Amino acid sequence: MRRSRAGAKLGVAVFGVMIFGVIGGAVSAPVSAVELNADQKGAISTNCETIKQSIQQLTRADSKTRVYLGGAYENALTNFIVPLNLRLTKNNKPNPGLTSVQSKFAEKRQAFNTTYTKYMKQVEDLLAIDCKAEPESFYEQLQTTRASRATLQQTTLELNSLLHDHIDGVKKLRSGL
Amino acid sequence: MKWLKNDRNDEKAGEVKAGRMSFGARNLWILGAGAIVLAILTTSVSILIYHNSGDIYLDRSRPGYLPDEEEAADDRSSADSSEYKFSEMGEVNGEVLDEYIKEIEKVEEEVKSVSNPYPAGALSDKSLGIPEKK
Repeated sequence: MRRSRAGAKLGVAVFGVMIFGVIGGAVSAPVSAVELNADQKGAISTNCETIKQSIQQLTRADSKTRVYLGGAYENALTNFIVPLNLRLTKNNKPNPGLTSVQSKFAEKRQAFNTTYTKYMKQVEDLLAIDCKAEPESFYEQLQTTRASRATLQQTTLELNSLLHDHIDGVKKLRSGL
Repeated sequence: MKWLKNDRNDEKAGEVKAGRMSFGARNLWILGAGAIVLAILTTSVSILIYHNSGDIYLDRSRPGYLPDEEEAADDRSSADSSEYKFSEMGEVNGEVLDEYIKEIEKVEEEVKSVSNPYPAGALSDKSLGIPEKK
């Protein structure tokens, strides 16, 4: 009897702590590091739906770009870069420069997928925020999303540069034959 | 008197059926409920994996991200034309490399046709109609 009473008390105590924890978490307002002036808050609150629609249209365009560029990078790696290096190796003419570009390109291509996924997740989180009620949180997440987008842009530029380096390497190899 | 006994047996069987589910019917209910619970559980887990792995963001079959007509026509035309694939077998000479360079430069042109991928301006305050901080 004593054990069951003690057990019941413990259960109630744990349940009470859980409930308070949930309520506390729900009630406490998120601390935002962004300070907006009245004009900015008003503009975000008033044009919330329009801003979200613009962002959604942008993500559709970004998705098309991702498919287009991703396909081109995959084609370059699978149908050109890798087979060339394999053929060179089979002909006892391995080229360390081209091999190095291949591994960098493969790594960056993977980073492109990862960065794109991260960026889209940021956009999803951004669109989930109620910008009418929380303009500051929205703006903070917008800045995070911008940073992800900048990283994505940088990755595509690096991939383009690596592709160009590979072509230059092949031209040098051709001139040496 | 046999008919009276049979009637009494039938009455008892009826009482059993009215008051309590038979063994087979109960098991059938448990099986059905278990199958539904299992289906809900496995579907939830697969959706969670689909979302957390990031595949949802690469999936263009979801509403709003389906390819439009122009894009679908481009995909069909590129699928019809044979995609160049450099063979990993064979010798390496000037002729082979000349053809390789010619084909890979086409790929580079495709990539360059997207002149400014993911420009920062698209998400700027100005583009979204947010006044700048003064």
